Amino acid sequence: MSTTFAATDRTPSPALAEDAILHAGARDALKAQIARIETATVALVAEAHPLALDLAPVQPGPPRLMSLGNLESRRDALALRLEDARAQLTTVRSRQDEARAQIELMLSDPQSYRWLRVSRDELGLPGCGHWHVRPRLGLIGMLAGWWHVKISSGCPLICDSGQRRALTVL
Amino acid sequence: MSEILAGAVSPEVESEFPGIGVRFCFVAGGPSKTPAGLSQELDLAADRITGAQAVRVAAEPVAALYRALRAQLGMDPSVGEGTAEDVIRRRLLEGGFRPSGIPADAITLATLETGIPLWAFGVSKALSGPRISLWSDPSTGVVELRSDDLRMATLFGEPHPEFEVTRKSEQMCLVALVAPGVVPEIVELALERAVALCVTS
Repeated sequence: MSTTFAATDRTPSPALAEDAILHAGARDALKAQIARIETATVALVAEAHPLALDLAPVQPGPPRLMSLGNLESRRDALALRLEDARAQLTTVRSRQDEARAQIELMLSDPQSYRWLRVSRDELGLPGCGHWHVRPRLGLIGMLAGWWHVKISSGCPLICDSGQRRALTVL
Repeated sequence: MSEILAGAVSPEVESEFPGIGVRFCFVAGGPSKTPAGLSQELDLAADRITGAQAVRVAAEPVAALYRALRAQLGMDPSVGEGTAEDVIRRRLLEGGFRPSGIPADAITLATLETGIPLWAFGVSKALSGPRISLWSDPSTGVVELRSDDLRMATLFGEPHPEFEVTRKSEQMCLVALVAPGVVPEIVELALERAVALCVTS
């Protein structure tokens, strides 16, 4: 079913051939590492969704059989990219945790956090709502010290059906 | 429908990537308009694709194996002509699948359904034997799809001008790559599906 290769086709570049023979084990290990790192990066990107991680571009090149040195540098570049993506996700998650903790504090003692506002975006949630410490009954509450946390449900036009409803009304 | 054939793999590529392979088959005739049925199927498929799915597709098992192969071959894993990610990216950028004719639409749908990247080449009738091969250039190591001694395309790249599907093409050759770890039967199913879509048009 398959064709065979002529003897002339079996002559790889001397450097690659020597590399392949001498370092077969190391090459296999590096390729396995590259595959594992790439899989981990993709899984991280999927896990972070809807947050878009800013992945550093990988040096593009044609598909080729790489030397041991190239495989190593490729592995290192991909590992750095994964590390960077993890750091980005950790930073964002810690900011979100801080925002969550802030809401807890606002809810437990609104008076100490007057006018403070935390958006759903800061928590990594979809929509444009927010938690806002406001006085009850406007000016009266402000003078009397009646503060509470008001939760906005966000813009009603953000969802598709909302847009359609708005268009129908118009 | 022609038989699905296994292409040759050069010893260098085979030893570097055990399990890698090529499958191909021929479809008589050149390009044609996309039939209404296929257009509808593509529209339905486009409607099912969401932003979340576009992110998840790269993590799906079959797509992940091709992605890993691209990384091991020194490519940017996100870049690759005809891959499932490429198809979904196109859908998001264009807002749908615009009819591009046969065989392009047939391979788009087959890739979307199976996750297997497929490529179509225009070939002369003289080429009807099992001569497609996966080969690496001895001087540069670049991995190519070849037909005898002629370069059809760099792997995951666009076809060489001589092998583009044009109105002058006497027949089309659909080619699929078997990435290490991918079950060859899935690749053959993808090819069969693409051929069936081409033939019924």
